Amino acid sequence: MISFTLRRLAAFVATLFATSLVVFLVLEVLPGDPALLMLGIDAQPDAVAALRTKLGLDRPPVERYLVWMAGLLRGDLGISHTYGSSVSELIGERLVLTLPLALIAMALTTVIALTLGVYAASKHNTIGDYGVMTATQVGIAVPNFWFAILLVLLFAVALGWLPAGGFPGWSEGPIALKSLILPSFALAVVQAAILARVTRSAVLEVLREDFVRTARAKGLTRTQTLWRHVLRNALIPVVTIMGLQFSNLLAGTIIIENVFYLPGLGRLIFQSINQRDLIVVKDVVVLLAAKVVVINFVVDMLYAVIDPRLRTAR
Amino acid sequence: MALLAVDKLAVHMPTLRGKVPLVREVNFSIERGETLGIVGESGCGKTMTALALMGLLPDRAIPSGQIVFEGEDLLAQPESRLCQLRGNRLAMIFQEPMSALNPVHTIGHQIAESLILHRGLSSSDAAAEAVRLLDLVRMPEPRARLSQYPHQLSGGQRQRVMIAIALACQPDILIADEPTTALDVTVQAQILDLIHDLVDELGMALILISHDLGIVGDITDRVLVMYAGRVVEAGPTVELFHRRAHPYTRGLFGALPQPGRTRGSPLFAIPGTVPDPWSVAGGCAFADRCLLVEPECRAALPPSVEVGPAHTALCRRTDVTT
Amino acid sequence: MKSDSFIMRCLRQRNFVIGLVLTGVVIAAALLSYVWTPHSPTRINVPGRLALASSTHWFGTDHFGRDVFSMILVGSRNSIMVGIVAVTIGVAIGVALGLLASAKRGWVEDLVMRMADFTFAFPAILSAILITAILGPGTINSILAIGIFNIPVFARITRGAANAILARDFILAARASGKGQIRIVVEHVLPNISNVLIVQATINFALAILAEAGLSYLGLGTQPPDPSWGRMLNESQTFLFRAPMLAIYPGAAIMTAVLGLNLLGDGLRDALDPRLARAR
Repeated sequence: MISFTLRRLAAFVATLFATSLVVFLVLEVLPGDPALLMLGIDAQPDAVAALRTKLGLDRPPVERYLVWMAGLLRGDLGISHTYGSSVSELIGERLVLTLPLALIAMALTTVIALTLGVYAASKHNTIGDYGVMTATQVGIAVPNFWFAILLVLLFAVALGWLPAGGFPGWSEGPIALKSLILPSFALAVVQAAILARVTRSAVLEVLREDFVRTARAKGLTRTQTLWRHVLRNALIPVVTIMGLQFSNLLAGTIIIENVFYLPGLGRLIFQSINQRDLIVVKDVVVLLAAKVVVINFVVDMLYAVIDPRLRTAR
Repeated sequence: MALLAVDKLAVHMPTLRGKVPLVREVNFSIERGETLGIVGESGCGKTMTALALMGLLPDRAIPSGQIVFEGEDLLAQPESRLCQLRGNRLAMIFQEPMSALNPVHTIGHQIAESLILHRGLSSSDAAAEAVRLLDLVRMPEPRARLSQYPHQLSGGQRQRVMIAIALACQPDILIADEPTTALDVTVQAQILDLIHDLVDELGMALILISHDLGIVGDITDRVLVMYAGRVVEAGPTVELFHRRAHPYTRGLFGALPQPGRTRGSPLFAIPGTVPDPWSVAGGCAFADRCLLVEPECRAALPPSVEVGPAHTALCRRTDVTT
Repeated sequence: MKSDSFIMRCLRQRNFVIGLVLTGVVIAAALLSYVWTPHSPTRINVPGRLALASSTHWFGTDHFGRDVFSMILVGSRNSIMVGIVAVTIGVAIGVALGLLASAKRGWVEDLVMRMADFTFAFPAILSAILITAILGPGTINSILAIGIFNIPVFARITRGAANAILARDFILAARASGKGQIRIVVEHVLPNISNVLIVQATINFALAILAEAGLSYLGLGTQPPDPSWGRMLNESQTFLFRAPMLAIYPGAAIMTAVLGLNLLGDGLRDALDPRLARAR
């Protein structure tokens, strides 16, 4: 078990380095002149030269990479070109909104999807099953930003129960949560549709196994069998997809935060990219990639928790 | 009163091509402490019969008839009552021990589950009892097994665990469906002996299902021979094996290679193949493969003829065979 | 006759039929838009802005007075074209890479697969946004961006399927008879993996339409004055209180296209290979 963990950790660190390298290459080396990119083609040559010196772009790439990495590890992410403040501060401010949003969305997804998936599997080939399959089929086809707008139409415009956008800040207390309800639903529903299908087919596969028959022969009811024996065995593919979805969630926030005018990390990324603030973009992209690697690592560890057979393997 | 009395049990499954009979008619009864064997080829309905007794038929299969267990007709009981009886008064072990245990739960947990469910034991009491049961099924190092997982055990050991689970609540009837077929030859005899000894010790009734005549001959008191969903011959084991009143039974035995036969002489095989469940017309299902067939055999179902004490066969030609 | 039974099999799948109808509607709209639209989708008519649905303007008008129905029709062209070209890029390059990886094995395979895995680590939207930002917004760049993240999907699938085929005995026979690598690949591997590829292409077409809509919503896709469903959605947001219907039409159009293609893909999958049909 220890060597399994250590090997995973080593792979994780290696991937992080590779990712940072690629990001650096793509964003600093590839575009040719990052300073020109940041200021735009029409910029004055003097301004470009000044920026280049300010950012240390006249140093050799290897040195720049190492300085950047050193800074990252120290927590010093540099100063944003457009905002003027420290990037780590910026990210910190935004994360305070985006992280709760992502977590709430993920929780919603899990609850909705697992319930629907298990229900559909237990009512296989009946109206209940067909209903869930149809609903999820539609759910997958709905663009999440359109769904967000529809939610706003219903709950903000028509009913007036929830705000159509904006975020008052946590200093207002739990009221601020109201601003996160619609966005997290918008994020959660499409994902839940996909996850529900995955759950359903995983559960159906497991229901075919012999040990399910053994459980019933012991006198367990169908419901008991489902929850105590089937679900845990069905979790492996489900957890895999959940990991992927959580990774993609942050990207999803890019659009959703735009729909709801939320000052979160997604909005930051989008605006920075638009404004060619390569410093912020570089740092955020690496962080996002790092987050993906971390999530993969956690998922791998979870596999071992779920399935004892994987603990001694390879 | 018999412990279990099965009367006109039939199982059919509705399909796009019409109703398919999986079991056409089965009648038998079993007393406390008796061992009954059911033999037949694959597809004859023996497993379906067993599943019907437990109420574990696939959802689309529909049983009819009566299964009276200690005065209750099991086919008329609600699912909740059946759940009370399963694993408690009626237990079953299956053919593939390799896949019959849940891979993510420990052995201890899986044995204790029945104990906690039916006998209301606490987890610590259940654990202690589980050790005792593992000892009963002659598992080496029983205490260590509690925290192990199924993939850490061999096939024979897993089948022992299955037996332990089945016996946990001291059932009145144990149904064993091909319990040794999937095991190594060396282990088969051990498991069989184990089952036999335990059944004796605990005074349970045993229904042993197998296609292997040798196993059935070894440990059963009475035997049912099934073909195409019916019981074609039934009687005390020694009697039946000796007399072989039904042509099919005769064929089954004839197909056994005899020690002492000359090498190179062709092995006997019953001509033809087992018919599709839906292609059997009225009349005797074995007619097309029977060496003694007469026109009357195809016209109507043969009568049940008594060929000896408590020994019957479903055949018109028993005058020839006995 | 093989093609007859294939079509019959497809038509027997309910998913396929519904998907075909929905997709057909969208394609028909696109084709129709080349020949006729009720009004010009770009003609601005400020006095008549934000009108409700009427006999002249079947879906009403937007904030510039443009006819929404015509915009939806022309917008379908955009979505479909981006979808088709992006998937074609993904298939062409991805399949080639996948076949290369499978045929050459060794470090080539490892390299291709590492690169594919790596691309998967980046959320697709993020990559698309990055690419369009660096290259600039517009239809062509969004096609490129979406096409790029289709490549690893097809490379992965092709490699997996090709590996399975190449391990089979009839390949050994082909090799023994002296056929070269390329011929084996073209004659034997491609026909056998085409089923999987067709199904995946249909599904990725749907995803491409969603991605294009997302990019256009963010302003990085098709630029004005060309109509695009995603951008229409964005523009409708400012007027949610005054003209809520403006938000419904483009979203419904996107959903119709995506749903149609998804169902088509599911139906194709079940018709082409019953073994692939999971528990239904």
